[in-house]
Amino acid sequence: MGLVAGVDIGSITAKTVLMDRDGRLLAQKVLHQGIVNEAAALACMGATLHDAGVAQDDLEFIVTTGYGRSLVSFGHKNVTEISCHARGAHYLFPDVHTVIDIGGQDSKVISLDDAGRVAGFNMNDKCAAGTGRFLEVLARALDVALEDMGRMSQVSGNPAQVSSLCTVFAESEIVSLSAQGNPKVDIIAGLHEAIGRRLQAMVKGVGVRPRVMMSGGVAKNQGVVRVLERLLAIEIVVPEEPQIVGALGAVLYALEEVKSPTV
Amino acid sequence: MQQKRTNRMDSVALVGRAVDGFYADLRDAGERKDTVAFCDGFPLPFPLLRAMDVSYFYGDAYSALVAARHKEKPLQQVAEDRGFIVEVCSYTRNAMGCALLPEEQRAGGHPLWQIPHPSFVIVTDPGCSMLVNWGDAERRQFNVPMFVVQLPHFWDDGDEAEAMDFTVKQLRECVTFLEDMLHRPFNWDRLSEIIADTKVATTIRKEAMEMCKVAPSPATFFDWASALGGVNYLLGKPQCRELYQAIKDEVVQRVQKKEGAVIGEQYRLYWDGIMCWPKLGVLGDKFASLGACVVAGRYTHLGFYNLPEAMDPTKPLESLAANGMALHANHNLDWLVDNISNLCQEYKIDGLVCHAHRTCRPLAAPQLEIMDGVSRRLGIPAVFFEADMADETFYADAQVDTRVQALLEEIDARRKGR
Repeated sequence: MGLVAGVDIGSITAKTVLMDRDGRLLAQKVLHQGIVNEAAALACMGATLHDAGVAQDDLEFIVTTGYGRSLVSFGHKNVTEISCHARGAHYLFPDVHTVIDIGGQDSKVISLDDAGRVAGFNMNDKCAAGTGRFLEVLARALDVALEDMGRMSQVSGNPAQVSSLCTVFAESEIVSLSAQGNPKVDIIAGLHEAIGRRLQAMVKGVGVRPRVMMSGGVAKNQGVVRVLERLLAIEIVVPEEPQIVGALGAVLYALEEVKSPTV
Repeated sequence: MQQKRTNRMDSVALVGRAVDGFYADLRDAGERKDTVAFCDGFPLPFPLLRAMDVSYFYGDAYSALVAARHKEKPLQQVAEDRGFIVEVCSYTRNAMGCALLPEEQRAGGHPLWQIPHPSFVIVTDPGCSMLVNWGDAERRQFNVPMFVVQLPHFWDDGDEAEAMDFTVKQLRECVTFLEDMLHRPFNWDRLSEIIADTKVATTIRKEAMEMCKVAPSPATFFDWASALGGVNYLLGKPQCRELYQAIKDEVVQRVQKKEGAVIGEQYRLYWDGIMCWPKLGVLGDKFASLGACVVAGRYTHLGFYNLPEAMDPTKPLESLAANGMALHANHNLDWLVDNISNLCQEYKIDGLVCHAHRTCRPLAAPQLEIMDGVSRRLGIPAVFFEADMADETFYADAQVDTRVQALLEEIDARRKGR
């Protein structure tokens, strides 16, 4: 049947996008997997195939991306998440020149030229400071749902001062802030401020060129997006499903391969 | 990662044997209770020491060597136990770990840990925030005299003649220091012979390096980093010339046969920063497996005795000063961007790889501006990865994979025009 798939194997989630040879989007899936492994990636792809009502044998070419891209055996080619996010972002918004991606355990800023090519990038991924995992841990410490953090932070009138972005130290810091009687909304707003300040330096290192798009799970947190918009003094666009951008880029690479093979 | 595509130079293996011989001689010198000098920083004083037949321990090269041979961890632990925390220069930590090693651990340990104690310390500082403190720690540990040569920093266009006078004056004082330490007059005739020999050896090395401007490149940055052993350990000995001649002969053969150091060379890269010594083989294979040949680097091509044309046996101190002053670390951002850009053009570089070494801040500090300047001037992409020159705990393989692969994808995209 000649279908193509892009699979983004991240540190917390697997994402799959399925297209036909004409570039029509057939299905997409985000699966929380907890740990990178082939079984989880296959499960995500299986669920996507099921949603589209097609079989594994219908797949002509698969491109994998993300940290697990070379750890799985079913892909025909792997492409870095840098190139895939750029490709996915350019597909969704052709006028995007800056992509801010905050995933489970890393964050990256990618600069795109007018043709959608990567013009430069910056990554910070040796610890989980300021990433999805950071927010997950602190949501647990504050006993709030991760998905409620964005909404809660927006009602804060007095964000708390959170100085550390080390997940361990920040956890102790918010215990102290709670003990001092700071409302949860202020603590969460303070955490978002701290993440924003860290990202601000990374973005400026690469250079801010509008339009700016944000992707990754943390892009679903409106609190973080608003802080970044304020700190960078620029509007940020967030796609309907920000976690799928890397897999979307991967499927576009797969489509390119079936049309003009390089492997 | 894909299949191994490294085509190693046989002659570079000779460096390892020469280095083993150097350390065996150093241990023998210790057993004979000969005078031993500890040297840190730029390898400027070696010809002076060789002229007086003084054995030396070169802290920087030693630290790189123990890291490359994976014998550094116990040394780092000993240093850390004495307060040299992990943020301190890993070269300093390795060398100080060796200096501080308890006698029972030294005697029963690896031969590389059995370094004799110094009679004095010489530091040649090209503007590093650590070196004088490192030398001072050795001075205090062994209760010996210390001499410091300060290489001038060309923070503006400056006066080269004045800088030359300043450097030569210090080298003269260093000669006096040696005479005081050794209680005998300096052997100027021997120094002139050493300078003449060094001129020949480093000319051969430079000619061999410049043959790598062809594609496929017959040797890699990793080969030239290993070959620094000749400069660090053999200057003034016939072996130095023989070593570089053997390397040059192999390079010539490869050029004639169009044989590359990377099988199927597709990309030619520039390396900024010190070598990541604990990962010398790993990184060589990693880049090669992707068809990438790291051809040239600041460390190897703008660093150590790369100015043989300035070597004049009738002016030995001026010859040394000129080579010390030519070190990249002594120069301002404009000089660095100009010279690195020229290097990249000569070696037909497709992309820049920047090793941001966590514990060498002085060299890492201008890297963002250097890469930005060269990248913009030449219109080629650049990538950073953070690791360290001699502490592998700062290295993360997956992160390096992503960055290097992304750089090559960027080069591909530019070639395809999309």
